[in-house]
Order: sequence, then C-alpha cells, then structure tokens
Amino acid sequence: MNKLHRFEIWSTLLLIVWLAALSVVTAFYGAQKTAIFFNSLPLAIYWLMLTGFLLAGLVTFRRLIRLPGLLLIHFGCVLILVGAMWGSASGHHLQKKLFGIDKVPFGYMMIYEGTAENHIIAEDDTVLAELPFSIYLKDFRIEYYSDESYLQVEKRAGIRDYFSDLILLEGEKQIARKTIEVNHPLHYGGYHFYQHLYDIEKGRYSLYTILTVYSDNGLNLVYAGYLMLSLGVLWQFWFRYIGAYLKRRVSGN
Amino acid sequence: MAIKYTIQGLLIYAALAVYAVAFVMMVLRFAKLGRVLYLIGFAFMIIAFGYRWYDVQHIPLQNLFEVFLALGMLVYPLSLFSRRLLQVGGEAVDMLIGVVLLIPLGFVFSAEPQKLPPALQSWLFAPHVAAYVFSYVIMAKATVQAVCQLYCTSGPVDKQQISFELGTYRMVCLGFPLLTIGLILGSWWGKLAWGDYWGWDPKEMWSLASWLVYITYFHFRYMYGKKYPRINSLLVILGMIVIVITLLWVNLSRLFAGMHSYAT
Repeated sequence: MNKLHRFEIWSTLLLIVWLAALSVVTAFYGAQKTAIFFNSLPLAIYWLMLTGFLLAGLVTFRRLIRLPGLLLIHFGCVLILVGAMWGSASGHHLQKKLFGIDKVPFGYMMIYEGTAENHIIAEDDTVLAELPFSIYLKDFRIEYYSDESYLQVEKRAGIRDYFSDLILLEGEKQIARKTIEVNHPLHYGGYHFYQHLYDIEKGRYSLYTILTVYSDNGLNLVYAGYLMLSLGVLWQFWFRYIGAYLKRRVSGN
Repeated sequence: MAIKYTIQGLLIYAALAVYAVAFVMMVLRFAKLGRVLYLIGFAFMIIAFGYRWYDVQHIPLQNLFEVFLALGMLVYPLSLFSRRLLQVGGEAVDMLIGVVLLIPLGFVFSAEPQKLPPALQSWLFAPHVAAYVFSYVIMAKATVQAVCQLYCTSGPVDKQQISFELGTYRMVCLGFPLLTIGLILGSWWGKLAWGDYWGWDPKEMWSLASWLVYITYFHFRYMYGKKYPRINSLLVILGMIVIVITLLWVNLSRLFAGMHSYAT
C-alpha cells in the first residue's frame, strides 16, 4: 500500500467513524433537530468530502474496479449521497439559482371536501408555491377495524386506515383520479402527495384533509444507488462464495 | 415478570427448558444428546411461531415479543448452517443465546396481539423486519466468535473448524448483506409511508451507526487485519453493542421516542 492509498483509506475511515459518532450523538436530539443539524453548512462540507473520497477511492484503488461487488457498493453509495444532496433543501435552492427550476422541497396542502386546491403552504399557512394543476377532494374517509373501535373515538388504536379520494384537474379538465391512503401516496408533476392529517375532533366526519407534499428531486438517483448497493453486497459477500462452492462441488464429483 | 399460561407460553417454556438442558449436555461433552435436544427445542419454536402467525393473521414480526419469537427459532438453523458450510462452531453458545432470547420472551414481553396501525400495512413490513432479525442473530454469533478470539487461549476444539478471527469474519460477511438490505428496505418503506426515505429518527440514527461500525470493521480488517486482529474483534463487539441499543433501548426507553415507537 503506497502513501496515497494509505492517506485515502485513513481519511475515509475517519469520515466513517465521525459519521457513526454523530449519528449516536444526534440520536439523543430527536428527529427534528437532527435533520436541521445534518442539513447545516458544516455538514454540507462533510457530505461533499465523503462523496469526494469515495470517488477518489474508485479512481485510485484498482481493487474497487476489478471486483464488481465492490464497484457496485461504492458507486451505489456515491449515487445515494449525490441524490440526497440534490433532493435536500439546499439542493433545491441551488437548482433555482443555477437552472431556474422552481420547486419547493416540502410543504402541506389543505383541501376541503368538494373544493379544488393548488397551493402548497408552510406550517404557518404562508403560500410556498402554486402548482400548475389542482387537486379536488371528493371525500375523506376513515375505516375502523370494527364498530367497537369506532366508538372509542379518542383512541386511535382501532383505526384501519385513512383515505382521501382525489381528482387531479388541469383547468376544468379532469386528468386523473386516485384514492390515497397511508403507504400509498400519489406521484404527479414532480411531487409525492401523502395522506397526513384531518380534523381530529370530527374524526371520520372531518370536512377536510391535510396532505404533505414532497419534491421527488434526486429520488431516482437514490433508488438507483439503493439497487446497486443491494446487488453489490449480495454479490460481494454471498454470490461469489456460492459460485465458488458450486464450482468446487462440480469439479469434486 | 408475568408467566404466560397459554399454549403459546407453554411452548416457549418447553423450548427454553430444552435449550438449557441441551447447553448443559454440550458442556458435559454429550454432544450427540445435546444436538438432539437442540433440534427438539427448535421444533417447539416452529410450532410456537406458526401458532402465533395463525393467531394474529399476519406475519408475526410486529413487536418485540414476535421478533424475539423469530430470533429464538432462527438460532438452530443458523448453527447448523454455520457448522456444516462455513466451518464455524460455537453451537453450545448458540443454545445459550437461545436461552437468553427466550427468557424475556417468556417472562417480560407482552404477548397481547395488536391490530396493525395504518403505517405498518405494507408489503415491505415483513422483509424489512425479517432481514434485520436474521442479520441480528448472525451478528450475535459473530460476536461470540470475536469474544473467543480475544479471550480463548486455544483455537476451536473441533479441528475441522477455522480460527476464531476467520470465523468472526465469515459470520459478519453472512450477516452484513442482510443488515444493508434491512436498512434499504426500511428507507424505501419510509418514503412510501412517511414521505421521506430518511427521517433522522433516533432508531434510524442508531441503525445507521451499527451499519457504519461494520463498514469500519471491513476497511480496517482489509488494511491492518493481520497485524491487529484484536481490534477487528473489538469492532465486531462494538457493532453488537450498538445493535442491542438499536433493538431494545430505542423501543423501551422514552429517551429516544420517535417514529419507530409503535413497535413496543
């Protein structure tokens, strides 16, 4: 191992250990503070460094190119990091400045039954963006496991699922219909729309639904990275050995 | 402490007793008898798990009771696989791991079946938790090998088996893909259920930390593994400590209340 290799792998190791330590410390903060911390400027520098060292490793360590499993793992990690940075709040800000892509990373939509809405709002009701299409709420529903659990309205344990029947409109024209529920969001126009909240006091008779809206920037990169990382670990740690084992058995007989 | 006077409870206690006796037999060098008892204990656990599945009408991996039920069942096939195909021993300790898993299962965790809340109704639920359950059992076995590497003066008793250092490495290699896939499936599910593939939730941070510890292990072993085998073993033990915190502390303590809290 030459000097360059040693420097690279030690730096990468330090970066990994540093991230592990930060993860443990921020686990005591709660999710909200942790998200703010990992999106701050010093951490942006950290993420860029980590990505840079991974790329440098791919260039200088021939082993990482020669073994397909290791190549998939490390390149997959690069894609995940790049996709995550692209999809972050700062990533959105940068894209607006550089390319004029005007999307909000995250927001809410509040829609009353029988009306259409096209504004993404913040938690304090200020308008963040106006969508080129609008969403019409036909009905908001809650299903319960049984009638008994419905009677205990204050206990949310008996709820089977929340539904919003949505119709997508462009002007007056109806483009699509979709019923969203927990675990089944709507994907349209570069955003994912999720069932989030309702009028808790009225329960199943709530007259409105609240959706959360997430931009899908960088998501395909992250998913591609996940796929490569999964295939990479399986190849590197399992399939290689299974292949060698089968070969041994065939030649042994 | 609560004793379970149900068929389920009795099956668990039977398995617990059989695992314990099997362990004692192994220590007394009645290896054959020990292995037969181990198999019987496994049979009890299969019935207990199948019964639970039938009882709650979904794959029983929702809360700590069900996860430990699966863990207690999986130690046997893992021992067998490791001994036959990876030349990694430590069966007697596996039986003891089984006993340690079944004690909280039988006496501490509540077996009250729960209806699935909306967020848990997803096909990703079973593979996400199952991948983690498998990987945790395997990492526990890796940790036993690592402790032996540090403290056992002689090598494995069975001469067919490999050294403890290599045994640790093989077990980590077996478990790491599952740990990775568990993390990725969880992230993908998070995107579908909560809106984001990473929520910075305490449980997520701890599971990321455990993944990173094993990453550190692989890189360190690749560079200096032959020179400092003891550090390799210490890293694997550290990984297990972080895993235990991820699995238990986050669910049991109010300190880390977060989005994973319904898995009580």
